[in-house]
Amino acid sequence: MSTLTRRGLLRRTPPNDPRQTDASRLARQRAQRILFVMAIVSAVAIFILYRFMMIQIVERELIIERYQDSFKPAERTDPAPARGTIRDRNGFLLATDSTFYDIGVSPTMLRDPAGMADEVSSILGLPAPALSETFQSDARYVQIANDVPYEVGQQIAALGSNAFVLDPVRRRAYPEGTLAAQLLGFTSFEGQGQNGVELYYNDLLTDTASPPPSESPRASEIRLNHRSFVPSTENNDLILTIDRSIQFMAEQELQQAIDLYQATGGTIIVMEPKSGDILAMANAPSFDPNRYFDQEYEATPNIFNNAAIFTQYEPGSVFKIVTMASAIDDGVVVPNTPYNDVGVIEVGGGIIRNWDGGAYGTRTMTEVLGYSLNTGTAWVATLLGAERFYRDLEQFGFGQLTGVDLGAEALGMMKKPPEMLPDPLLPAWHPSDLGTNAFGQGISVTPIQMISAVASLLNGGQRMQPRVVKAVIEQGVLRDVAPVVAGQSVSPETAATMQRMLADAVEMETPNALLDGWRIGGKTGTAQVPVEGGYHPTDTIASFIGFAPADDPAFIMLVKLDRPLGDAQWGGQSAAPTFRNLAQRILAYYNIPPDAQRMARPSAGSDSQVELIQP
Amino acid sequence: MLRRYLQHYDYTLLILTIALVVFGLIMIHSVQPSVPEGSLNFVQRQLIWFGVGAVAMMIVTLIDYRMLGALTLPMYIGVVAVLGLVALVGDTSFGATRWFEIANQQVQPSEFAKLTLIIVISKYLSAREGEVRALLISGLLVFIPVIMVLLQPNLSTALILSFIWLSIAFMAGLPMRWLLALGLVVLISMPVVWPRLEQYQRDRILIFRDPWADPTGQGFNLIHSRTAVGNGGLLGQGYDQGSQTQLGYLRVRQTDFIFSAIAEELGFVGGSLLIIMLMLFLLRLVKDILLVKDPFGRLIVAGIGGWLFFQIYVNIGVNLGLAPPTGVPLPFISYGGSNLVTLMMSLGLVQSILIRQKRFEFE
Repeated sequence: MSTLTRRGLLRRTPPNDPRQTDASRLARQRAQRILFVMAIVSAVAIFILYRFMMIQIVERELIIERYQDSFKPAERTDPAPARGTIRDRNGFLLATDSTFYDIGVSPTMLRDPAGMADEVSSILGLPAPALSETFQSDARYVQIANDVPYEVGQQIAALGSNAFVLDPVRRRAYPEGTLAAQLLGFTSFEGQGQNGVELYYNDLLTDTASPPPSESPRASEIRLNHRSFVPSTENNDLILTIDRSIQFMAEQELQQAIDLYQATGGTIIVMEPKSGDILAMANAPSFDPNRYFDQEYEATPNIFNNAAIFTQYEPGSVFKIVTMASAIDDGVVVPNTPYNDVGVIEVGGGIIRNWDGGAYGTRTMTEVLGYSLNTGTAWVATLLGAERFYRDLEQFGFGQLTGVDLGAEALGMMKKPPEMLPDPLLPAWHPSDLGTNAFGQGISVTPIQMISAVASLLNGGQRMQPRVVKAVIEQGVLRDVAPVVAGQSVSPETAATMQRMLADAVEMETPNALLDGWRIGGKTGTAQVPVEGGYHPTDTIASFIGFAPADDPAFIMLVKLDRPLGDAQWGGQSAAPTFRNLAQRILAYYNIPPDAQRMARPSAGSDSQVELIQP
Repeated sequence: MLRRYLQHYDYTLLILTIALVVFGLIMIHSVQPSVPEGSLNFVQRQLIWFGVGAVAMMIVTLIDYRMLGALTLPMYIGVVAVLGLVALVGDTSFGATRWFEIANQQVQPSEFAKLTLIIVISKYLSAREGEVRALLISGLLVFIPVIMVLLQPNLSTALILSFIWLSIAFMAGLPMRWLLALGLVVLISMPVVWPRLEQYQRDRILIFRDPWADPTGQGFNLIHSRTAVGNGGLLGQGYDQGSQTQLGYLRVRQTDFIFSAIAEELGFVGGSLLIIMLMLFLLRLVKDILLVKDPFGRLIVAGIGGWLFFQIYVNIGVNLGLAPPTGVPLPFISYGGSNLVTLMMSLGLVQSILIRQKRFEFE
């Protein structure tokens, strides 16, 4: 039926026809309802506009404030503050901020979740089944990996799926890996320095507040010994005293020695005696600060400690240097003072014998050092007397912190007679301790205490505070840190005498330490390891402390090997050759000519250690 | 004949459509996340879909919609079969089985189910205007696919399908007292259904009241969208300048939360301009219902209007924190290919209906 006829019908139908009423009623109803719907459409739009205006204009401040107050901190996308870089003395990068990624995924946006799970699992090294389950969930957003290195993140981005969200986060990176790990320390995810330089200088590295000095405009480039680099834009940078190359050589030699002599660990410190600059501080075993959170380190938390400043050990015969220097400084003996060794001496009720039990007859003080006679050294201590002896040890810095800018330093243990007011927590002093302490037994020190004490003898008796930071770049301006004198251990004359004595003595019985072409000075040490109620029957700590060239030392070095096996347990058999190997390399690196040529130069010996030729 | 057709073509509707899509393209350009080198960016892809949609719209306009009336039974069986198939063998790897893979392209059958059901229900009711029994049966016809969609589970599509039915039934003369009764039934069933929902579902629904209750999880997007809106202020941060938007805090800023991005960058001025444009579009569509004399066509327009009404207002409502987050995109504006194409096909259908109406008057 056409509309027209229908209309015609409608017109003619009486009012009570149900179809007519129905159709017109429906049409009327439709028109009403369309008006009603239009009203609703407009009303909802007006309501939305009203809410929109309320949010954007009236509630605006409140919403933004609430977001900033309660949400931003809870989100913690990147709480780590920016840190300045840490560089070695020549400007080589040792620690820097770097971009890592937190990766999240919106599973419902994935096209091929199962296939993608396989790919992502191979890139991120995550278990595929768990990833697959996540990818197939209908979660809006799931965090799947944190702290992914830059290049791995780029691989995820290259997958080309917009389901992945890569949030860049700031993390600390150590480009040299395990190099100087304990010295540098590491940085937590929150950006807090942990251990080492990162902890000690945490505030300085993260400080952004201090304004640049007005008179010196911010440098766009820092020049440091033949190298130049751009300083951090907002933070302070640190220039360490460490020489990356010497540090590398030291770590290499240390590891070789540990492998060769089957030692459990060890420490090498290389220091510049005139300034107190630590050139290298190597510890083994070590760790990678990039992965400090790795499971492999969980069983050995001690690995993070810097053994060079943290380990306390009985130094053994190396300590005779200190006893002898004190005696000479106090005028009790001179290098040629004779001592008649009968192989045994009694001090304060204790019986002291030589290391080999032998009797060496009449010997000079130089020979007492050279043949490392326990008896002769104990005798010298008795000449000094307890009070003067321990007073002198304090002058050398024992029983105190050296103040090295690394923190977490151990104090060592030096017992003292009661009248000298010792630390009440220490075991009581016994008169026999005077004899044993004289040759480094019954007293414990840290490697850094030991080397800085001996280093003072190479610096006219002036004991420098050991340090690892040489300069600070503050807001783009390089500012050298002045070396600090910690004290005067002996007179300049005594220091010069000791320097000569140590060069003479080392030639007597430590051929393994000697270099071909350069005279050196030094002393071995072999200490037994104290255990409950005495000493371990076989374990020793083998050490050697030496310097080169003997007449004008460019460096002083302490080599300490823990529990080497067999013959190597003697310092002269293990630590001494390690010293020789490393000293040889440092002299070559410094380009210091052999003594014969160096002495023959018109300005002999005056500039040997200063000129640094870059490899 | 063609001229007569074009005489009744609704150009206002066409211009509003194009204006809205262009607005969307401009905003997608601003908010789009970066894409890997070598692949098309979001604007380029959306432009392609716009082209595909325009062609589809023209074709559908040329087809006489009344021909569809003969196909409603197979269409309905097809929809139910496909939704059933998805429930059984669909790509369950998503946790929600919404997708189908055809020639490596994922197809979401529930998108097409909307348009198909509009046609089916319109046809069924057009022959039975005002019949109470027919209204009941049409409700049942919708109820079956709604249950299937709910099983996927896809709550938002189920709600859209229900609302579409309501719109068509309302235009077909659903008595007001029934409407009230229906509202009462929903109200009463709330306390029954609510405890039966999973905790995460309840959380997801309630989160819009207080997104700060779970700022890193469910509330994450809501907080950032609301902050983005607030951040916009009267004049906005400027195109390409919205900090929430450009820093990527808004996670699905090119789709579900594009309105927040617009509000942040263009402010109240730009945002309300968009709201008014969308409102005018809806009013135009509703007004067009009056022009349609044929009940079948009229109900189709009503169904399409109801569908767009729901999606537009719910999406903006989510962005402004007035409705629970549903995952409904903003028609014309949000990025999304199948969405845009389906939308433009529907508007082609509306035009097809409009141009074939006035003939009756002169016959």
